[in-house]
Amino acid sequence: MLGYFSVYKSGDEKYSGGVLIINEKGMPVSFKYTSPIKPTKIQKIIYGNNLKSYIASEIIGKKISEIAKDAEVLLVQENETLDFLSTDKPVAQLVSSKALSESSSFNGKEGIITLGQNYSAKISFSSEVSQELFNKISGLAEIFDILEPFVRLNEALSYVCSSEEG
Amino acid sequence: MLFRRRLTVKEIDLEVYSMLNTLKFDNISFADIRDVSPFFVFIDRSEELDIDLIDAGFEDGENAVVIAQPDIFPSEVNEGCNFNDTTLKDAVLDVQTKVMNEENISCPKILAQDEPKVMIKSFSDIRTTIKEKKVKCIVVKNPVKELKISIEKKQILQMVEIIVKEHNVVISDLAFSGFYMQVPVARDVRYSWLGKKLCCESDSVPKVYMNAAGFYNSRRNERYLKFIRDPATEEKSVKRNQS
Repeated sequence: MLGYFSVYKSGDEKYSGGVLIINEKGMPVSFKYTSPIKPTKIQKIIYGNNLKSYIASEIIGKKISEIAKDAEVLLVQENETLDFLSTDKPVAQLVSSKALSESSSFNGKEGIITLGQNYSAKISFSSEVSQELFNKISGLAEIFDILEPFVRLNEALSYVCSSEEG
Repeated sequence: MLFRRRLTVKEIDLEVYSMLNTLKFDNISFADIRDVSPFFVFIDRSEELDIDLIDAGFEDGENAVVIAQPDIFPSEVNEGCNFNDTTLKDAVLDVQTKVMNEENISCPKILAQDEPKVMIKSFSDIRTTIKEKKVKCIVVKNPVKELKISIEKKQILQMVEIIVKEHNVVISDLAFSGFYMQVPVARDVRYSWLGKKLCCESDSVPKVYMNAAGFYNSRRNERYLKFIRDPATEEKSVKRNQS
């Protein structure tokens, strides 16, 4: 199963992180998220530019292992999140790529996954992983759009931040 | 003649008194007091410094002791003094008594007249809780050029004929747009198109998945989906029914 992890920052500076677990058919299995965090002024001063990274790694990231037990790999969109996440699971940044390739390719840490007929995705792991894992993700990309869950995840986190339910 | 200067060492004010032993008064010149402090300390190494703690700058209840180390003074300060030389002034001022240590020795009572009233405030750490929400069963599928099972042209043509009949369209308007792998099949699945992408939404997690082929009607700008029967899967289900 794939775990999609994202930290969302709303317009009024609320933060919420979430993990969407997708099964091998592309269907969502669970969505867990943190209640929205509204840092105080002093916290903004203390953490400065590192606030989002701090929240991603220390607040939300540390709970990742309990949130994403079932995920075989954690996928993120932002490179800074990739650097700060601390988990025993493989973590990879997955972004759309302009590179047109007939077939997927992988060099141990980075790879290109063909998506559909005309576009592809670039995957960059935080550390070296097996070809087998890459092939599995690449195979799942044939079954469903592996970039699309990020859209839903961010929409869900946006809703969490804007609603009183958070 | 006594010169004195208040030295600032960290947040502790010190007064340093030192008598001058040898000084050629004819050669003394002072710096311009508009720019710098008019007070100087000329220190003779031969004398022991008498350093008073005149203003510790500490809060009530805090403790500190200041230890002077006169032997850290560079030797050239006192030997061959030339007070016309402004560099000498700098050299003297560079030599400062430094706080070597802070120990748990109480400050003089004059500095700590009141009971210590120190309050330490710290900002609260950011905390959050994990929540879970039910999510809609949605999957978005990209078209692929080929499936892992081989599909004969005859099968594709059969699907086209069915679409022509069902939707009353002209066969020449139809174009094959790609295969879709493992599309969920259930009564409650709602299919929609996002360009070439197929979006499948359902209320519960479907249990049956089939490969499908997509077709595009250029005249009507419509897309059609036809599921592909997998002979291997069908054979298995027949055998199961027989047993």
